[in-house]
Amino acid sequence: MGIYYTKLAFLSLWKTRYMSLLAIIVIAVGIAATMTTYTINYMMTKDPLPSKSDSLHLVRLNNWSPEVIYGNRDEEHAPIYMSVQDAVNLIRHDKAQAHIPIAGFKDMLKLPSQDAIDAKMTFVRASTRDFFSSFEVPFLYGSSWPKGSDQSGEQVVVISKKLNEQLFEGKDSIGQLIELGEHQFTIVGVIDDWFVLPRFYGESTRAFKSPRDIFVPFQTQLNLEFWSPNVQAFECWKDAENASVAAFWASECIWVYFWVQLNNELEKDAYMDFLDSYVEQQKSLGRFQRPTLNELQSPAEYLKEREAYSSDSEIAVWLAICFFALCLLNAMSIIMTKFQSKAGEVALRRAVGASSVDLIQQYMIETGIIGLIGGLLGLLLSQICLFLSSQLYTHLSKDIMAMSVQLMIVTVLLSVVSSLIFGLFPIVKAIRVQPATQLKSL
Amino acid sequence: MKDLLPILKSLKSNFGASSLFILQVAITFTILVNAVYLALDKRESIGRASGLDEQNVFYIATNLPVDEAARAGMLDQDLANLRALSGVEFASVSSGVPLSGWGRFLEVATEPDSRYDTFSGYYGGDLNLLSAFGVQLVAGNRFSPSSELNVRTDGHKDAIDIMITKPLAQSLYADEWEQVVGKTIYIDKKPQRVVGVIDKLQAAWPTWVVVEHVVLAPVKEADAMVYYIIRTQLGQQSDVMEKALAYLMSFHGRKIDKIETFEQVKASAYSAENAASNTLFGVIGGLLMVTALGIFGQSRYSIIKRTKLIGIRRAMGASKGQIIRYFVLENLVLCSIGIVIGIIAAIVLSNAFSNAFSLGTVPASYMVLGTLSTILLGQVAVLYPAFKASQLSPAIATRTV
Repeated sequence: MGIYYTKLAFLSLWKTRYMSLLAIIVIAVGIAATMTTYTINYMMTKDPLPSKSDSLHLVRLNNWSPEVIYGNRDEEHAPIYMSVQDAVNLIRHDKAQAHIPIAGFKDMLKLPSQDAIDAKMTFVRASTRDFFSSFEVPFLYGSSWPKGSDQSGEQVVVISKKLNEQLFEGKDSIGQLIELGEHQFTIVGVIDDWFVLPRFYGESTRAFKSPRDIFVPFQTQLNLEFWSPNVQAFECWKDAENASVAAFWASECIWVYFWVQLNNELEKDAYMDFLDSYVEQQKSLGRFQRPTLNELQSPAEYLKEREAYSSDSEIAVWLAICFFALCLLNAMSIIMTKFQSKAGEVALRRAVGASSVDLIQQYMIETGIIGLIGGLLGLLLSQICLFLSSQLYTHLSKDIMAMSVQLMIVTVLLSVVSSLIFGLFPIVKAIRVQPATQLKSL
Repeated sequence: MKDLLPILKSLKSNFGASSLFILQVAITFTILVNAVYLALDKRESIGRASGLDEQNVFYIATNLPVDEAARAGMLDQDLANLRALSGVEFASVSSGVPLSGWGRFLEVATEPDSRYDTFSGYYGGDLNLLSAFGVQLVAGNRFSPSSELNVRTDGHKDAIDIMITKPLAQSLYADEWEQVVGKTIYIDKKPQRVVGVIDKLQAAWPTWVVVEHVVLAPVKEADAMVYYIIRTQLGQQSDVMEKALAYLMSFHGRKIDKIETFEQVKASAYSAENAASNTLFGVIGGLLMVTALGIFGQSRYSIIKRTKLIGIRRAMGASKGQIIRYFVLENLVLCSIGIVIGIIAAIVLSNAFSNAFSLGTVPASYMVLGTLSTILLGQVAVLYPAFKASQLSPAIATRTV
């Protein structure tokens, strides 16, 4: 029966092809608008690292002036970043599974063979090897630097696939040298394509931009005194002893984001205890004169507090859903027109014994097919819209404008299900004809 | 008007199709009004004047590749040579660039002990900075040559004389803002004297609530990295940019961090707003198209359904004009009902948005304009079907369907 009904449905679709096409297009446009905006919003607000979202934590210590509350807020909260000395101390105590300081600088990058004029100002991310393991960074060539490099601050770098293509035409560049400022670094690893959205670990304003292209050990930044005050946000409640970088490192100025990986609640509690004892110990040295407000914050909480999510994308989804409802109503009226001309056929089939359930089945297959084609066309359209958005939204990473397989399936399903629901009313209306009166006029 | 009663009666007999039509109009109206409001709201923030001579200003972020002690001298030398380039009107050093997303903010208070009254952005530079930006003085005087200071970093802490923007003066002294000239105010708790008020200048962050609040000080900072602000004669910009680069790169160890025209700065500052408003305009376009198609289709449908009735009316003496009038009027009635529902829904949605996303609510004028344009859309879409209906021959009444 199903096959026969499908055949009938195709016949009927062909007979009313302009009407059917119109319905399909209208549904496709609605689906495309909804799914495009939904994809962008979904990618922006999704969990960046589902396997690690429970175990990664931002460490916040309340290091600020004894006189005022940090940020002049009504409710006191610890700053989001910490001083160099605290970051170094926490790494040295080694109480967590992984320690990931997020620091960085900007300097001139070039190959030793290039002229100074070809050097480009490049942002450099400074962290530890834990950055790559905890954030699940895939490697194309080589690997992260060994633990020894973190401790001694060796001149090694990990670069991105993009930078590797620019500098070495995509070839395996392990062991090659690059120059940052006046210093030479050895490449130990090249990162493969790596998507982490939103990029939770650094400045919230860059949450939707791509990661930096070059990574060095945190200790190396400290040893070589790489410091770019004009591009790195920092806050000081007490001036450094003098203008030197070494004095800045030793100062109470805060600017290093510090993440730790703690695999379960037990470890988390233990680390909290450790932080409390660490702050107490520092207090005895005359530091941390404000109330102790240590905090371990999850990536999602941090992004939310920093208001990294733009409301625009959410508004767009709501508007698009309204728009989709409108398109469905429109398709509904088109389908109604389509079935209006079927009154004769319905009457004939009723007269020869088809039940209304049979007819509903038959016509639902027809609207289902419309929904399916509309959904597929909508999928195609939303890919085009996403491409256009990636051209338009230049301030966002291109990775946001990509639909996962699950979302594609949802797209088509949404289209079929909503067409079936909205098609029901026209169908019921159409089969309610009186066979006798209709047949008379034939 | 005598058509009105039959129209209302036919609404009742044709309840399903009519309510579908009304619902469509209502949803269209709801989205239209809200989307237009949001899109224009974005446009407005993009369109705000920055206070700069936007066309002719560019900046270079670069280092001073000499020892710390020699940096102030190098800075003066750079500025003198940049000013000497042909096509340059003014060249100055600044601690930051408006709308660039990177800058300093200060706490401003009128009393020494109060916590703070408001926040403000900050730019420090030489005496020329005012002219290099191209901003207008509206009260007080320019900085006196003796007030210029040289520091290494954090010039806002050393400033003695300052200028503030008019919006900042107004937020401190309301209508008596002009009296701020000569007064001492407290910047990050340090007393500083206001010598002048400038009309308009924006801080570094376009979405900041107090983006119009700026403090300007004649304090040159010769730090590791400096911003040169250069205002050129009309049409000379790209020429001057090339020459300035060539000059700067003639020093060993020079790093050019960035060189951008102010128009580029502004475009990237507002790229999110721009993209959002373009998307909204796209939605509005799609919406109008789908709705127009919908109204067109429905009118056709209701006319085809009533072919015989139209024939009978024509046979009984109704003119073509009367037939057209009937359908146009029917469309008007349906649209109006839809709009009434739409206005309620639009207010609900707008309130929901303003609660959830802290936006303003849609003003009443948008409702009026939305009503007019929705009715116009409905009328345009119904014209062709109504015309086709009027062309039906009266003879049709004599046939069975």
